[in-house]
Amino acid sequence: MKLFFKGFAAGFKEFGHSISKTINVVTLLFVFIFGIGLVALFSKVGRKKFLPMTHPEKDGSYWADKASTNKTKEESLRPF
Amino acid sequence: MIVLGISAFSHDSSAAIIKDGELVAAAEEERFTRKKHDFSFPYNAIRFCLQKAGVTINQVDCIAFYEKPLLKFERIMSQFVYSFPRGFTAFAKTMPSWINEKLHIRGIIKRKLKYLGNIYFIEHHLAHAASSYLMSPFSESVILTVDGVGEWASATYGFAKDNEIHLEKEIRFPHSLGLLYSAVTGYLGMSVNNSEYKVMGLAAYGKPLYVDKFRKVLDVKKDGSFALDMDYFVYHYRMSMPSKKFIEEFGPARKKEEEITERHKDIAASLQKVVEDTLFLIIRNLHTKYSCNNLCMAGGVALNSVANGKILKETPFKRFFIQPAAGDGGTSVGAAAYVYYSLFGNNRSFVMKHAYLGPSYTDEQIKKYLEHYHVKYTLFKNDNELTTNVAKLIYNNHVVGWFQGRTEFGPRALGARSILSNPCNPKMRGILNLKVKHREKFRPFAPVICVEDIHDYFDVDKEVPIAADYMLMVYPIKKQKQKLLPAVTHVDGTGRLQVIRREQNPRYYSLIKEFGKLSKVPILINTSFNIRGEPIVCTPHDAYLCMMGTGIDYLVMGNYLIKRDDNPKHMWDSEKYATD
Ligand SMILES: [Fe+2]
Repeated sequence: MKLFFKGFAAGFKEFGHSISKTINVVTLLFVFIFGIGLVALFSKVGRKKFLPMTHPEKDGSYWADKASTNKTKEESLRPF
Repeated sequence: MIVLGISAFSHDSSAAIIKDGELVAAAEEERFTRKKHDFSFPYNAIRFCLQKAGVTINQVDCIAFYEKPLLKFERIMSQFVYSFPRGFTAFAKTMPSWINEKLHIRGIIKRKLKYLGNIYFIEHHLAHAASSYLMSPFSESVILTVDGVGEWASATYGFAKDNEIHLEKEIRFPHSLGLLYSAVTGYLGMSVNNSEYKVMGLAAYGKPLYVDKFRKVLDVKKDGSFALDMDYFVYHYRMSMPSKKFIEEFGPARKKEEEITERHKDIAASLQKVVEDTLFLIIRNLHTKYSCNNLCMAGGVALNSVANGKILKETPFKRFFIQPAAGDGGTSVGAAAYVYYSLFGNNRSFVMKHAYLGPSYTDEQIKKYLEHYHVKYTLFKNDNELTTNVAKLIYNNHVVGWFQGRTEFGPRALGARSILSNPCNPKMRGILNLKVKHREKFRPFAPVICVEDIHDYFDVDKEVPIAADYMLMVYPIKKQKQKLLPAVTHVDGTGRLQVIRREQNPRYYSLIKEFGKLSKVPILINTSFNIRGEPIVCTPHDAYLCMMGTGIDYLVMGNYLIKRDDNPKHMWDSEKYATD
């Protein structure tokens, strides 16, 4: 009897895990399609490029100016 | 002032602590959790650092984190937006950790450590730059950082003077020398973010016949700046790296267990050549631009010891520094150093002169461990007895586990947690592989040599950079000495040597000298003390377990000598559980 309940509990737990995994994937798919997808659509319409697939070139060089975000203590407290 | 540096949630989580200007402790989390490249919150490493500094978290003035997480998040979201509708698998894999952890780093640090003070977020490449320059002996230097990717940057350069660092230029993701190296590592059937050094070792066996093909993939300007043709890669939206076009150009990718062919070797050689040429071009241009003879490097690409060994020869720089944890593990040191010296303007007084920054164990603790498990051992009375006896064991071709003092910071074993053996025995490479390492046949073992003997055995730069102390420089072994050192001479006649100075590790230094008296060659094989696929050992338990699970003959732990054959009841076969 004890074994039966143990097995039942374990099975139930696994079932719970699969359910939450499925819900997670569905939620992520929803975010992916309606979040990322919409931004992608608008960016295509507005011709905004999110990744520099062709690296911008200036004066025959790919080096780009680097803007520092750590010049002061205040700037450095920000996670961006 | 006390600053705690943290690197977490990427790869090689670590912690470091700077107390009144001195780097008191630094350690990677993997050494404690025994998970290679552990990227979880480095709770154990932090606890160790606080303990070593003799402080509680309430006494820490501020915490420095090794990147700006929101900038990185912006880059990752940009990847998904650009690649839509592709990339859902990568999205589903990465998003949960962003939602649960990475977007709340401030909260996580505060909650996990019960910490109330300020947390500073230091850009990834700035943390790399600081980890090198602020630990170097230079008061001014050119800095170059090159890795896979940080927030957006994959390479930066700039100049530093006193305690100020100014990174001037950058190359931005997806264009990356580090990711190119990783992509080819994956293509050659080896693990990405782990086996890049194997590709570097393989390169010596091949001819650079694919350089022209790589020139199509990587466009390099006259100043060394570079951009990738992204049609050859898919890493911006997929977990795998090279694209169909790459495979059309270079042939089918190698599967993990497949034999390594001449084509694979030639591809590795070509990649290494292209990366070296690009680095040297950048570095030469930086010398012209800044007219300074000091160079500091950091980032994963700075672990390419073959390229490093040629820098002083190929460029006009006179002095060169890299710290032992040049990859992401070292950014905890860099972040802490930047906050301490650059943000708070404290004067520089510290130079990193060795890598022994991790935990250590006293003879008493070791004895307690051995007695608890009824391990048979003998005790050496003094240093002299220990070094002469152990040198004899090595001379007689025994493989010795060497567990002494504080663990090394960074990926290399440097004489605190090392396996030592006889480099003069032509069979030693085979013996080590059979007994312990089970490595790919093409990979060489590394030699360790005392500083004053280098010029007798290696064709080194006049002034050997400190980076050689951290096994970060490959140099040619003198032609006439190569036959004396069959076990450490790579196919191209080079060796990835470690240089040791007496003041860094007197016992290790004396052992090498004692071995030299017996063999007439003051050099040992030094390879990392670990089971294949596991992190380097940390505790007496890890070391004993490693010896008993492999074919290491003896373990020298503090003043204790343990012979494997004396303890048959603890023997096991680690190879059954080994990974890559
Ligand atoms: Fe990095």
